[in-house]
Amino acid sequence: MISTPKVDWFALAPTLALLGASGVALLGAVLVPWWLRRGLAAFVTFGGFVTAGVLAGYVFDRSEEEQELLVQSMTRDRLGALAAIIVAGAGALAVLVSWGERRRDHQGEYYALLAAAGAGMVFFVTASNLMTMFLGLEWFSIALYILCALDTHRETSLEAGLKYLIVGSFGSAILLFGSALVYGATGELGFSAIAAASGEDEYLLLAGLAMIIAGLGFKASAAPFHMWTPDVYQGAPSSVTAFMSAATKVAALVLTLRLLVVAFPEQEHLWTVAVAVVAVASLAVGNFAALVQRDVKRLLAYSSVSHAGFMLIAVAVNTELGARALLYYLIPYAAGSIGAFAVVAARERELGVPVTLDRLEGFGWERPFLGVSMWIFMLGFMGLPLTGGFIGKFYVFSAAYEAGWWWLVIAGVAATAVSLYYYLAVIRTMYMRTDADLRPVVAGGSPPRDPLLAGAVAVAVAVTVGSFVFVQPLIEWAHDAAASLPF
Amino acid sequence: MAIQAAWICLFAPLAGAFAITVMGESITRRTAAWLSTVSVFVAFAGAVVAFVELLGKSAEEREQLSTAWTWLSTTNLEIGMTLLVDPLSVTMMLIVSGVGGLIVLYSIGYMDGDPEERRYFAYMSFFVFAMLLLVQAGNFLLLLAGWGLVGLASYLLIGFWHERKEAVDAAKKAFIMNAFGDATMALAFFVLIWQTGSLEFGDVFARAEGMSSTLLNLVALGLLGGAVAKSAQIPLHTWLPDAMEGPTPVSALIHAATMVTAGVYLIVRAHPLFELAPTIQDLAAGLGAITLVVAGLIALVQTDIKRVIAYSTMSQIGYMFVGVGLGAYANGMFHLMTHAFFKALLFMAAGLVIHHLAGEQDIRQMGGLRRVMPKTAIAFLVGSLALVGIPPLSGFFSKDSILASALASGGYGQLLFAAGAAGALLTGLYTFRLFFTVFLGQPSQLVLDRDHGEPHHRGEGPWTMTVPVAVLTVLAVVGGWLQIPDVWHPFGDWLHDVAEPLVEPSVAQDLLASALAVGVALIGIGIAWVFYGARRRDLPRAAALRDILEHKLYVDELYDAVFYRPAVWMAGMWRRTIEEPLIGGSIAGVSLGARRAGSALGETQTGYLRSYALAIAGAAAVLVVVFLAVQ
Amino acid sequence: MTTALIFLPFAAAVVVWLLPLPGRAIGSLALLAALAEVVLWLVALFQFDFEQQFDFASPQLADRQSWFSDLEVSYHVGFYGFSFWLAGLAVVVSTAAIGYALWADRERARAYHGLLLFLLGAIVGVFTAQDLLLFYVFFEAMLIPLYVLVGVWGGARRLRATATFVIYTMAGSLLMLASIIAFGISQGTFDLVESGGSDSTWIFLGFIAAFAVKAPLFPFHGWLVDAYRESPPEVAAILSGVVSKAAVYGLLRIAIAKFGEPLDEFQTTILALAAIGLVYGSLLAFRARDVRTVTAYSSMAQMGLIVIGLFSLSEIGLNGAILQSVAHGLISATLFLLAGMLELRGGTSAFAALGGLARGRPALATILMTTGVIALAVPGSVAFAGEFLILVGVYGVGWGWAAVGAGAIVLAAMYMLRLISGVLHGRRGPAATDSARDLRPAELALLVPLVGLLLFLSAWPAAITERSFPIDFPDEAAQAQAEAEP
Repeated sequence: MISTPKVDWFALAPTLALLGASGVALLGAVLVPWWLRRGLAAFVTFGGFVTAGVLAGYVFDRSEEEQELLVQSMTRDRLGALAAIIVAGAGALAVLVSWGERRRDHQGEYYALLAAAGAGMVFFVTASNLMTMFLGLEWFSIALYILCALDTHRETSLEAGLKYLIVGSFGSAILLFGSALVYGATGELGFSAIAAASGEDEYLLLAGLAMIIAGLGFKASAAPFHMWTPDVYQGAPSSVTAFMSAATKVAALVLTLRLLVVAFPEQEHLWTVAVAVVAVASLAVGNFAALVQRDVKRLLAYSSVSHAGFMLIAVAVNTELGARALLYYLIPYAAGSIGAFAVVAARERELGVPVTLDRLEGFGWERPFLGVSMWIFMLGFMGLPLTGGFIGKFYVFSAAYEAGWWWLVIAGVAATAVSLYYYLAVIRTMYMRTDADLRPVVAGGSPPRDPLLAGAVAVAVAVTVGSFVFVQPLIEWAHDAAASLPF
Repeated sequence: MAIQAAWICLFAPLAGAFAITVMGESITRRTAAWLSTVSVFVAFAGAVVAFVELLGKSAEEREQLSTAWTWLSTTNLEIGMTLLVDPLSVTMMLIVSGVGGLIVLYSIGYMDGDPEERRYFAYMSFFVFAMLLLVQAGNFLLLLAGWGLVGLASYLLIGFWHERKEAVDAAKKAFIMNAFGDATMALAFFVLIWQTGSLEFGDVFARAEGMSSTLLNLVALGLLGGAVAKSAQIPLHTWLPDAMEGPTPVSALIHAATMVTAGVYLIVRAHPLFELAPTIQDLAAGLGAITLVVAGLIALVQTDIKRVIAYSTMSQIGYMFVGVGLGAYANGMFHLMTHAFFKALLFMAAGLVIHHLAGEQDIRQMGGLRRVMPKTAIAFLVGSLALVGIPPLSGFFSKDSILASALASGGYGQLLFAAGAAGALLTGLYTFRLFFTVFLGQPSQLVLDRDHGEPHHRGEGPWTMTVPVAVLTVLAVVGGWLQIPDVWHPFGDWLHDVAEPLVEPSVAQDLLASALAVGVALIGIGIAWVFYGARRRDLPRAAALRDILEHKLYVDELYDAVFYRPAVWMAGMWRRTIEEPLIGGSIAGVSLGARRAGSALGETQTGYLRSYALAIAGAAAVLVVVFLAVQ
Repeated sequence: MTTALIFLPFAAAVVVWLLPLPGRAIGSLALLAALAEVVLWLVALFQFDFEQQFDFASPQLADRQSWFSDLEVSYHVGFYGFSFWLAGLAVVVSTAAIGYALWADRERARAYHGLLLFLLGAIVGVFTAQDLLLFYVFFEAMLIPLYVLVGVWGGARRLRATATFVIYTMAGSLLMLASIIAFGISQGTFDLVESGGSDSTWIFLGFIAAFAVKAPLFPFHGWLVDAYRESPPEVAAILSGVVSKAAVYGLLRIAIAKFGEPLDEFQTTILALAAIGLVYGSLLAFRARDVRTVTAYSSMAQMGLIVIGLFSLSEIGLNGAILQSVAHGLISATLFLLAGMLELRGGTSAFAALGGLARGRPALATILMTTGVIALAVPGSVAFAGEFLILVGVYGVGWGWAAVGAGAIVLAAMYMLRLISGVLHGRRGPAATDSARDLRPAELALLVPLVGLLLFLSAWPAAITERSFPIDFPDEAAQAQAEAEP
């Protein structure tokens, strides 16, 4: 007679909604006539993400104080809920971006996997136990591996998927090994339990902690665990890249924060420094490498590495303000990177070839809306005012300064200065080449109309700019979410 | 009433200038000319009214201040748009607007037919306004404003024929040298503000006693710098001869009658400061003496009719500096007035000649003009005699009063007197060298050609030109009778309360000075007659001396080498060594370095899985080791 | 009121961007909006109480809303006497610039005019911001339209120009951002009115860095010449005339008002840099080959002078600095617009190609001559009044500074006369053909108001000096405020 633990279905609802959507889409891919598959799958998945988002919103609203579920394998708290909301939003936008993708087959599967990955992430961010953490990680990773390789007719896509799979499993392995060591040291799997039990036999624990940091850093594509990022981001279908760059970061960073803060308060003096170093490394590598990129997706990949650096600063300071900064930062960042990759996707579909900087020439004047949107996303990445990116950086630096990490502020400021160069390069090529030095681009007739993608971009713009104006409500959410962590 | 008149006097010319500028093409050139003339004569009327008003008052209440609005103010400094009406300023107002009016009238004929007449008359009116602002200013800053604006007007008028490079260069030179003077004056004012907290004449003079002698000397020096630059005294004199590039009436108005004498006015106006800094006041007198001799020498070798007169202007102002430098303020002002008459007369007569000869200014081309232009010849002769100081013409009384005061003020004074006497000799010499060469002798080829030229070039010129000359001829004769030693001296009394003289020459000194001065002057004329009039002797060959004099003592070359070239060189050097390589290069260098770093990182991105895995494993290992080590 | 003044241009910009109208129409619309802004400023002029004693603790026409509370950041705007004049300068010059853009009929007019209006809004915002973060926001918001305006509509080497400009400016302002954070976090609020003074040298230097680049001070002027030479004339007019004054406001409102000890510590250094910039700029202007470059270097020199006035830290010097800021703004705007008009005619503003333009072009000659002589601070002009006050103020710090400044008066005469003669006088250059006609009425309509303002201020500089800092010396006010803080 097995005693089943009480299950808080409400807390699980977002995940379940996405799982359901994934299932329906998958079934549809088999049962429904081919001409209906794409529509059905996309619609269901979109619905799934929206529902998940709404439900997560309810969860956020209904869980003032956090509680552990399923024998401490999950936490129901606002941190997880907020992260889930962002992930769901990113997913919904990703669906809209994907719609215009000209894909011969695997329509249903594609959306099913998208939903599955989303479900995995939503589950992952609520994990409060090394086991569920690993479970969630593998759950969404595997989905992503396949998504990257989905365009089998493009070698780059296959290569990206393969690379991601292999290097990814290597990263997961390190994470798993680290978790094992921690378990060995403390005999505990639950985060809070680890914190309580830690003390004797430090060495194993510390080795484990180091490996866990490495493993999570890999997912957050922080230097020096970032090397897969450019190749994968470049090779994967743009819509997938858009989703990955936004959602994976949210999941990875939020969980990193939760794990480190909840499970390793005793080792704070070590991991804060370690994370800070990783952050600075990411800033340096990401920005300098991006300076010389020609391929836009690759450039954005490096930019995402540098942004991982900024967000890790917020993790490193290990204060509530830091947590708030991270959670705020994620919102405009996610919107910006989905939007940016969406614009790239649009150009890609227009030209039918990978988008290099040169191939953006004159784009701003040909497609005013997308051009201006790209403008705004770049401003957001630069952290210039009138975008949430600015407030995000401002919060991160404030948190760092308040915690006394002034050298992190300097590093961040310097990194921002460097980053200007390549972000502006994008704008420069879009707008500032005279018709004289415009090289003829292999344009495929008139640009395809893609209202859904345009809609997604519009939403992304709205979030990027809106998060600048309406800081107060967002920061209150972030505040509530951060409140559920024991600082 | 006097005050209202003063305001009208000040702003009438400005209104004229503004109207001409704004109306532009919509009025004929002739209308513009008359507009300007009328505006200046209105100013003269205002000056006369003010003068009569003051005459009616007792000496004590002849000083009136009126502030129209606050021009510039901060919490602890307030400078009003203030006019000061007192005998000194009224005297200057009369000279400026009166002589000015005559000269503008004269210009109507002289400038007739110039395509840009409107601009010319606008400038002339503007100049009169600026000059009146200078002399009516009720505080130092406003005085400096007028000071700068006359400089501007002078710049505009010297460079009036702006397509001629020489004219433009001369204009620039004049402006920049005067800007230097402005700067030294400004510095003096900074000291005054910080020491006395004000720039009102009254407050400054009242509080100046409290200042240390060093500061007082600095202030006086600063003011003197301005005065020397504006009055073309050595060493800031080189701009005046070049200024002759402007139209002749301009030379008459600005560079003879009014603006160049502003330095004298400044010293008289600020005499309390100068009296507190006696060394500087003596310096002023000394500079004046040097200038009057040197300018006289240089005038000897000039061949351009206007330049000769220009140098004589310098030398006459030298006399005035001697006078005011010695504290004989009334005498200095007196000579300023008579000089305005006869020097304007000379310039305008010369203008008639130039006009008649269609712009020819080289006296070697001239000769025998008395046959063609008898009236002009007479006017010129009167002017010359007055300039040389032959009784009973105006120059005699004014110049000799200065020499007498020099004689009366001790050893230094006598030294200056010697210089003055030498100057008198030179004056006679160069003046009549000019007169004889131009008017006596056989008519030169040029003169004959012009004379048999088109009919309208016959005669001496239109009435607009001849009438002012006639008026000034009369003034040049009678102007000096305002002040006859030991007979009566209304002029001295008139200015007595404004600037009390420091020296009172005795009767004996007066007579001695007059006798000597007239004597040497006659000698000078005699020599001139020997060499130029009767042509009995050829000139002595003193090539070296002549060379030095013709190069004006190489002062131009000196300034060029000391100021201009270094500035040019430094600018070029900075551009080559700082601006382009360092300022411009740095940014390029930084961005290049950044890109280098970028590509270096790019190389680590091999694309091989093994290297990625290695990086991850390595980094993780490092973390582990560090954690354990630190623990 | 202030809020309206800030957001009217922003709103107009959005309208201009969205309305699908042809070029001229959109230009006229933008011009109307700008004129409305002028009217609004005039209305504010009558609402503003110049009698009220100056005090940094009480901005007028103020407006405050919390923006996000956990870091005490708020939308807080308001005017002081001096900043009110700076805002007026911004409004007037921008209006003239928009008028010029309409006259020059820029291509892609919707984008262009929208950006100009946006820029205007940002500038007014800078001059009114009473919250550090808000100040930074507007300060950076100015950069965005400028970048595009120069980068898209600029001259042949515009890309290099914009890159240099942005990198310099951002390097400076990011340091300022660090300082702002440090200042705000340590103060517990980012509100300039509530926060007290600070004695941290590093924070001070962070601010100085940004303003030194913006002004620019020697040797942070690497962006200046390219930016002024490559940008469209009307943008150059705004850039040199108005945007540089953001540094003036910042130095005064933040650096001088908030920092006691660092100020005394670095006064000499900054004065020295400013003085070097003054002489350096003047000399390079003296050798420059075209109108634009002369104006560019001369405004570097003038900004040096203004900074000297600010860091004389004397009430009289500050007054001079504000007066000179307004004067220089109008002057360099006029000169750049004139340069543009010359380029429209001859295709160049190089002295070698020009010359002899005075003959038969009275309007051009009169306008250029008037502006030029005011620019060289002929005694009696507003520029002279400003320089005079500045130098009187700095004389109190040391007579040497005043002497250098007075020397600069002579240098200014040298380069300005060279500019005037280079364009108007001498023999005609190849570009001075008969097709290069006199200024058209439309052009006069742009220039005459600017020149008229200059003449008006020359007749009555007290109009500004009496109303910039009524009564108190701001530093004392700030100190008193600082002591009031626990």
